[in-house]
Amino acid sequence: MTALVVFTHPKPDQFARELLDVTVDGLVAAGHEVNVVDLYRENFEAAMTCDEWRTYPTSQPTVANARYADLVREAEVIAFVFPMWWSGPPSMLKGFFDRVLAPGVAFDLADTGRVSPGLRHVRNIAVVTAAEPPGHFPQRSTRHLARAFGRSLRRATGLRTRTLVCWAGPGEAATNDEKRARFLRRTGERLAALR
Amino acid sequence: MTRRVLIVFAHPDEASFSAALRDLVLRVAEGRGADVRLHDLYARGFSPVVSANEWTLRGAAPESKPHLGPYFDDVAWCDTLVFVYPTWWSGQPAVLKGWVDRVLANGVAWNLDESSGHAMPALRNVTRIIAITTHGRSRTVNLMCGQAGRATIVRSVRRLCSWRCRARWVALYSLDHSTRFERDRFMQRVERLLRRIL
Repeated sequence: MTALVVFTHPKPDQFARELLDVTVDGLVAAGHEVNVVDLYRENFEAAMTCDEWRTYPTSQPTVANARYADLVREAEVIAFVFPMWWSGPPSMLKGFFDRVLAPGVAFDLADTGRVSPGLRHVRNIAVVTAAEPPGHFPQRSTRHLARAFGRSLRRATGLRTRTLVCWAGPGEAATNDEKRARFLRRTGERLAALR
Repeated sequence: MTRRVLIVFAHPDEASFSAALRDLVLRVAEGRGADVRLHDLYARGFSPVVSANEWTLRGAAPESKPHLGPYFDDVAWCDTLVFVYPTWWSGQPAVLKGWVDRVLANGVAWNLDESSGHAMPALRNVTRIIAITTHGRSRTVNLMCGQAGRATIVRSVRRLCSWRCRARWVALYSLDHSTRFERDRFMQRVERLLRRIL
């Protein structure tokens, strides 16, 4: 079984690294073969180009994205590890959605405009995210947003896919070592239970 | 009083419906005698990505990021922010999300209050936000998905602005199935709204 971990952080500090590590370790413990995509390290181009936009309905993934598309196609678990900025994922990760999860990969567009899911092989989505410290930035609660993030993806996977949301509030992320350790431990355990 | 309008536009294709909406906003705003500045992010080749260096400087003064200076100036200048974009995957296109991540920086859009750790709003010049967007899917599907993109603008960005700032969300749903008539009607609705506000 194959899992894909999409990691986004411009300059991973210790907490971000730990989050990635527990995610990978958890999925390995669950018996998955894990591929990690580090969008920043791979210098992923986040902006969709005009050509891509014009060929979007034709479901032809571009050559540059073929590798990512293949990784998505063979994944049974997709995990996203990222910080929540301004009520949404960082632009880098948003670009991954815009460009890689395109027709032909994530869903199929019929001529009538009907969308059918293309990721039925994905059985679990994991969203591992934390509010960035300082935590009192104006945004809807991280928990709610992380759920919304998983839900929008479930349109492409079908409704039988389960979504696991592990979110850390500002308290866990920044201030309290004990809470932070507990969050990391629990995240690892929950991911290890993914079958 | 002339309004100072900053239009933030993100769509890769000049032939798109979003580009037509942008032209409509420009036409109405100039017709009303407003001062208009336009951030056409694709035309400017705006990089959406927060670099490692910018991330390190996230708590520093805006002078530490001179390459974003003109963007900072425009944001501090305007009193009306107009976003025109297509909604993709429940949110802003990556380029526009990058504008929010990079341009709404410390010292420009918020100031960190050292004692409480809160981000205090600094865009007190902005009293109006108008978001004009299109969705491929129906309203029901978007409500089920949680409308995270709307939260980014009407919650996160609005909270950085003046306390009396009002955010107006104008959305066309089901664009993929829309008819010419529905699109024209939406354009008229946007035009009426802009004439009332600007």
